[in-house]
Amino acid sequence: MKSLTLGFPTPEIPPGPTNASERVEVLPMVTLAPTAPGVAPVISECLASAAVYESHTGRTLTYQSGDALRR
Amino acid sequence: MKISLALVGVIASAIAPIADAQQTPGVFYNFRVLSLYQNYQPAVTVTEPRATSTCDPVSRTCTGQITAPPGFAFTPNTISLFGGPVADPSGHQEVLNLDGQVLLDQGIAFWTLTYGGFADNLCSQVQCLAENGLPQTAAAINWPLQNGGTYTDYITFAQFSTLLARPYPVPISAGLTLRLKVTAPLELTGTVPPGAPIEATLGFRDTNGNPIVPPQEVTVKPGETASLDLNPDAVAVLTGLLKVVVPVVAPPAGAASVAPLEAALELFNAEDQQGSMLAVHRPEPAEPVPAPSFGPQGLAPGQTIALLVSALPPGNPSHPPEPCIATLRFADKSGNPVGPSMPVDLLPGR
Repeated sequence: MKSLTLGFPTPEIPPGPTNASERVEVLPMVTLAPTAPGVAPVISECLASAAVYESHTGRTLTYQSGDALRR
Repeated sequence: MKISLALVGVIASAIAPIADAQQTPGVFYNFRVLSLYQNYQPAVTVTEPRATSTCDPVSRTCTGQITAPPGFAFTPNTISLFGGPVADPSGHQEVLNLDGQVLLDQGIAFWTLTYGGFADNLCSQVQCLAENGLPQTAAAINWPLQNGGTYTDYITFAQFSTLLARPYPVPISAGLTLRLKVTAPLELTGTVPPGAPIEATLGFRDTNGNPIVPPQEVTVKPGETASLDLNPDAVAVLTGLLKVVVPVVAPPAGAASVAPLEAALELFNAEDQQGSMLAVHRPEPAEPVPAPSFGPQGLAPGQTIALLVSALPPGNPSHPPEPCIATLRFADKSGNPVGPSMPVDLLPGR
């Protein structure tokens, strides 16, 4: 299993200038390995899920599962 | 057309001729015989294994035998042959041919099922359908009993459940209990006869595939629910700030597949019983969904979002595992990348 995390606020998405508690929406994305022309297609299948947790305590707040992907 | 195969008053139906002997690669079925009492008092007690089965992937034939339950009584109407067309459980609705014979004097039912090579024979053409119009991928043998009741054995050959084929990693907070629940649907998808119990093994594994708690075998009838809890003590031994476990619905011991079940995950605090449902998994579609299905996730200051990926584990004969080769990233609501991206290349089961 591998994981990619993103804490908020981030340099890319700082809190709103007038409301420090403003929520943002981010979309978790899993992009399968691309297939090059003339090369045998790469078969890839992944299970993916996403979870939000408190950065300091690790307490999970919500969770969603994605579907397996296949090329 | 009802495909349940009773010993009393049931015909031996014929399958359409097999036009093409070409075999379907990569498909292997294992069979499981489940039993159910019906209208019999006192209850039948069965202590000895009554059914055996084996499959030969070369000849693509499965055979088995079932001995009569205690209290079995032949009647003048008992016939010695049963069989008929049943549906491929992989979802393609191809026809499999089931033949059976009962040795009257010995009280033993023998059955043989041939699979593969039936791409030109679909259930829509030969009526291997249950009464509800859906493909029937199991057969029932109803044994008449001395007191007028019936003992039913189901020969099942079903797809893997969702959590077996899709064991998503799940994060869990320290101090909380994760409950894995499976329910046998009231209205089955045609893969199991009405009323048939479904067996499965529930468990929790770590991200390396090791069991965290002893697995538990359960049997549920339609509408019934069984569950397995992962308590905080078991979670506490996991490493890392974000604890991740993998709930698994596996086949029962001795079987390679488990019938479709609805599986749900609930996270709750044992002290105040407050909690929330995480996800409900229903029997998987025949083909994987070709696109991501995440929704935009709200994130507040002080919170972190984790995107977890793993490769399908081996062990599903109808769905060979593939590596997970992908790139993980996040995007904002305009589709622009947010934060770093990460390439992954995971072997099956990792």
